[in-house]
Amino acid sequence: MKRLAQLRSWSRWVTNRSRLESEIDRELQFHIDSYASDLMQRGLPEGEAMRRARIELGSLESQKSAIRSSVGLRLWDELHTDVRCSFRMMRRNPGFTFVAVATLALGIGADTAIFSVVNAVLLRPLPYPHAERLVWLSERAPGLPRLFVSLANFDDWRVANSVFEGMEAFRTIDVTLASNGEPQRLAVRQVTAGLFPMLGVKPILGRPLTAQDDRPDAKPVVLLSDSMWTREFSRDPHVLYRNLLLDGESYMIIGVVPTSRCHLSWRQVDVFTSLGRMQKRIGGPEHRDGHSRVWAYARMKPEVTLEDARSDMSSVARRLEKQYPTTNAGAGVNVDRLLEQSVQGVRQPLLLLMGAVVLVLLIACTNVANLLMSLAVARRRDIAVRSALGAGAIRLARQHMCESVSLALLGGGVGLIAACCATAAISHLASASVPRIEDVSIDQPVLFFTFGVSLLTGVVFGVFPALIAYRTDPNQVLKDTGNSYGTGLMRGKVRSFLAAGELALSLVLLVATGLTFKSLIHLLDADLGFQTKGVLTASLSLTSSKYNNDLPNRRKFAQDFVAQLFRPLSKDLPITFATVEKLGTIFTMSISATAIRLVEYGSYPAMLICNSATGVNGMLQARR
Amino acid sequence: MTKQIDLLQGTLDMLILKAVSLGPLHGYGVLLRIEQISGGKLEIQQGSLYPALYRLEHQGWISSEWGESDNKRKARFYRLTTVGRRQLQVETKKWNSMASMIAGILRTTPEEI
Repeated sequence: MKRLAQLRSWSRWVTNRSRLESEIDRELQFHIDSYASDLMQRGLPEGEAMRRARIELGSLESQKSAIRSSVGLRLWDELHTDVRCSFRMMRRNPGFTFVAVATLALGIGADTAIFSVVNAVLLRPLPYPHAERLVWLSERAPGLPRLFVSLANFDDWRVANSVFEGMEAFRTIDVTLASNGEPQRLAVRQVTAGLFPMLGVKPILGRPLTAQDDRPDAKPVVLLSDSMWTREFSRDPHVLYRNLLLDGESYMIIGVVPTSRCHLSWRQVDVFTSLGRMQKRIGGPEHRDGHSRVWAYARMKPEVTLEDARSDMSSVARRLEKQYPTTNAGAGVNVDRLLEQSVQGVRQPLLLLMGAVVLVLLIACTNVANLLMSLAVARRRDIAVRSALGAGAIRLARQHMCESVSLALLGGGVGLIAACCATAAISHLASASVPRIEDVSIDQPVLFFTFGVSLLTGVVFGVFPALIAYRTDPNQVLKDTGNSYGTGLMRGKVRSFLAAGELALSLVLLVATGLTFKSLIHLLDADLGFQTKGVLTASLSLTSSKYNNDLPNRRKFAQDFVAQLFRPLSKDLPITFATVEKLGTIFTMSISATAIRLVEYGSYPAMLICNSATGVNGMLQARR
Repeated sequence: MTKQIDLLQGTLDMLILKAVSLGPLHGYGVLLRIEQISGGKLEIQQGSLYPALYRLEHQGWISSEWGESDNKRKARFYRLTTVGRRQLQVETKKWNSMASMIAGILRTTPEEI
């Protein structure tokens, strides 16, 4: 209550300063006049009365300054003066100001840009209610740390666990949409009915999937993603109950889901159908060894920790292992936070980058500190005169601090502008390799970060000159008539400290950059086992309902297709096929590149990668 | 003229609150009122009056507004706020208990120890 009143009064003083000051004048004048007239009534002559009245009140200036400090304006006034002095100093040394602000802008700008990426990619929660409780479930087996989930195991997990509120699964495949125009390939995500409710995503048109739609004997229904709805149907609300021919099967459109608000891969999906309906084809107790591209999400109960969830799921996995020793030997369950799993590949590189730009900022700090030190040498007399006139050491140090913080904030402002441009470029450049990068923006946390970093920067590089000012002995400086260079043991020490620090920082940065660069070179040089120069790849998926269990026919189709496709390209180039049979392990489906075989044919090596699970990947080395 | 009594720290604020609680006053009026109710025994140092008034207003205990004085001049009048009234009660209570405690100490005779 009292604080509030003080704040209100203080802000009134700050905003209506000149009016309130003139009111003080009038009030004091009234006081003097009243007192003088009282004195005159007691018999004093007018001149003497006025004189006495003035003396008793004291000087008007000291009255006013006492009033100012009693409403808490003193610190404000001093700060105001400090800032004014700082800007005067900057105006008087334009070269110094330009170099310092530019250096700081580079440092702070780089930090801001990278932090905006870190914030958007690593820190910002996923766009779902209680996203911190969402986890990603996958299986593991000896030698295979991450494995798709077997649908039969998933069903058992769902029943046996005690840590999750809900557990849902999905699987993404490519299908062919037969429409009036050209056939299209669509990304289909088959989801269990509870998945969208778990993510808090509601249809913007039509109805959601229900448990009925999830039954094996249900009628085929499909939900459109909003991007598909816009692209193919121009957001026509009459799209409901029309049919889509997907891989030769007719699906009825029952709704539209706003997946453009979801994270990552969910945005790239065109349509959603039910996973439960496919259970016979991909899951079921008799297919416990089939790990057909299914992932699972789960939401932990509110009081459950990640460790609880992990230990509960591992005991569930151990029970299943005992129950089904042939299929589940050595199988375990990975429980990872959904956010961490989505960004795990970029976490370390981003943190490394953040570390690098922090070092760059520190180097910028030492540079500017050095510049300020040279300026301090030139200003020693100025400081000495002021301190001889009665400015306290703390007050002088504070003014130096204020100068450096003003510089840093100016640098931060310019850096922020640079960062805005940089983030646009970064999100454009890295859109293919960094998840969530399209969400990078200069938002509130980033602004706070920039402000905080600028303030801290100002304090860090301002502390040395402030220390010098604090220690300046006016007596010595003013007596010193010759050149003022090279005096002061303290300054020498500080400067060597700064130089050594800068060298050390640069060295760390240089070594880190060198190491990173070396790994990159290694990566580019890695031997893939075949020539990549001039190699083209193409992939083709075959309608599963038609070709799924017809391997010879499937292979023949693929061969004909590839031969036809490449014939015009290679009149004299004979094409050879090498197909690879389905691998005989239980984990076939988890291996994405099934096999690579190189076929030498004369001087033109031709190569084909055939993936029996998903279709055919053709690869051909073009003529040199 | 009576001799000036040195006031304890914080006492001036309390006296101003009391003076203003009897009715709105301008700064010079506060001075006169305190002298008047003390029977002319207490004379406030004029230099410390205005900083104290502004401090009390800053705390929200008194509020001010421009009005007309007895001699038809514009003057700034102070009045007690509700918060100020509560503050005055608190200070009065504190003062009284302190005064009686000190008086008790001063009355002590050797036999009582």
